[in-house]
Amino acid sequence: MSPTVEDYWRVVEAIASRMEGALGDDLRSLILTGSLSRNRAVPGRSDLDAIAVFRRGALDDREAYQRHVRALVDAFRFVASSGLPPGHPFHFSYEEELADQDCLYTANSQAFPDSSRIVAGEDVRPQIVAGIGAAAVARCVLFAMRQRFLFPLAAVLNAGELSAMEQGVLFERLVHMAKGLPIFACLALGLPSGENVGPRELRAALPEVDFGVLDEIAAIRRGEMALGGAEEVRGLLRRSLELSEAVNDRILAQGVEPWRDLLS
Amino acid sequence: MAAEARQGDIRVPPRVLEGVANLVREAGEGLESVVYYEHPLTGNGLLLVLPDHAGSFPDLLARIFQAAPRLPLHCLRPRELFQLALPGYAAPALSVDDQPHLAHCVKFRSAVLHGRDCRAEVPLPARPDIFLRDQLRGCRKFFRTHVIKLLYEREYRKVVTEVVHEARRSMSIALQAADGWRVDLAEVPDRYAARFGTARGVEGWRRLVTLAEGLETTPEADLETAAYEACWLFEGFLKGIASEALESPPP
Repeated sequence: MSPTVEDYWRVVEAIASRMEGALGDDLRSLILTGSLSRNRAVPGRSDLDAIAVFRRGALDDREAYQRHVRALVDAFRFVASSGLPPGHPFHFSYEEELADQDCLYTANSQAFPDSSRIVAGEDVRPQIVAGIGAAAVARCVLFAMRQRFLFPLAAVLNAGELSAMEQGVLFERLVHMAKGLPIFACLALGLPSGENVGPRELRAALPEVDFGVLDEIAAIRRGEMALGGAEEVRGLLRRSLELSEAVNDRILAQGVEPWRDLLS
Repeated sequence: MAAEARQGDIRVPPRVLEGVANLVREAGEGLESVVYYEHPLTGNGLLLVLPDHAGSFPDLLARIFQAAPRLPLHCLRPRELFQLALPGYAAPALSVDDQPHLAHCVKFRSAVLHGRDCRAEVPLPARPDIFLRDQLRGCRKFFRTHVIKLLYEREYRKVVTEVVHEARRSMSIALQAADGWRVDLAEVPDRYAARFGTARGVEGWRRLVTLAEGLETTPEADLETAAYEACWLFEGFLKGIASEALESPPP
């Protein structure tokens, strides 16, 4: 039976309580991020995303550090046995690292009150700041995403049979692409890029580009449309590649100038 | 079978030559240039320069990725070659970011296997420190999470070996401003020690290596302790490398 949204919240509350009990004041904050915090979780498909923030200086204390890691292993074990999709373990940071975060999800969404929730400890989100060079990396990440994650998928466009499992894997990759592309494109174009605002900003900035494939992928993931067979998944991939090209062309229309400071 | 080819100091393995010949047969008109390069973090890779107007781009990519040898590929149009010098996005354990060293390797540690020589059009990075900063953030964001999953799965030996490997990669990236592109991973610790002295990062590395070397004889019951120790040493190593290579680098 698929879990309900209420099941997700019960697991979150239980984990927060376990971590507070095990770590006391060492746990400065537990920040829930991702779709659940934005009331957009897809029960049975969404996983839990969170960041645990530990007290300043504890990273130099072997026993404290290992206690923190054990608490996170325990939290992941709890999620894995709860019936929710286990996803990945929670991220963690120490207070002194909050001012050196990357620009993608952390500084652009986790720090936003409408993209995250505090489920234990204090609200340390005002301390979350992008580190030196993080904004520069963010301007370039779309290029890396295309080369590393999207282009290699093209190998299946004209390949033979795709098993049901391969179709599922390919679709999951497209889900990741659909989440990331608008945010990464906004960062390359210097637009606001939070998970809630990025997609809207990009569509407004590039009104001539057809973003329909992103809507279709999202609707299929929510169960509002059927995935179909191998040809349908390949069709989504082809349209994703075309969309990525169209967005890339608009970004490169700026020339090299936005990246000049990074080149010698 | 194709014989190994040499261009200067670069030896192109026969399987790469065969793969590129196949690639050129399948996508020849869609390839302006094919450059083979050696790379400290991935071993090697191919730069494929595509024409600015290639008809259906998805179909060209499909032909390329079906026919190309199994190497890291960078598919770029001439106007996109500057991207070789930009930072990528470090997500250690999830994927290999080969942008550190990439522009240097394509320009200076490479061989043109097909088409025109485009290497002079590739710029170099102006801010090598950004690559290391991104690697260190990536270790904190992704590698920590990956290790927690390994600990949950009781893959204790894997924790230690992967920590050692990631430490080596981090040292390589720290050497980017000091001709690190010339240095293969096996030689990286010595080069790092020579450049940055015997301070915190080097000491952390030595303790990690000692731990890894002892794995063979570590009793099963002690592996969990060794894995947690490796994680903590790695954290100290990362702080050391940040201090040595970013905060007070040698002149």
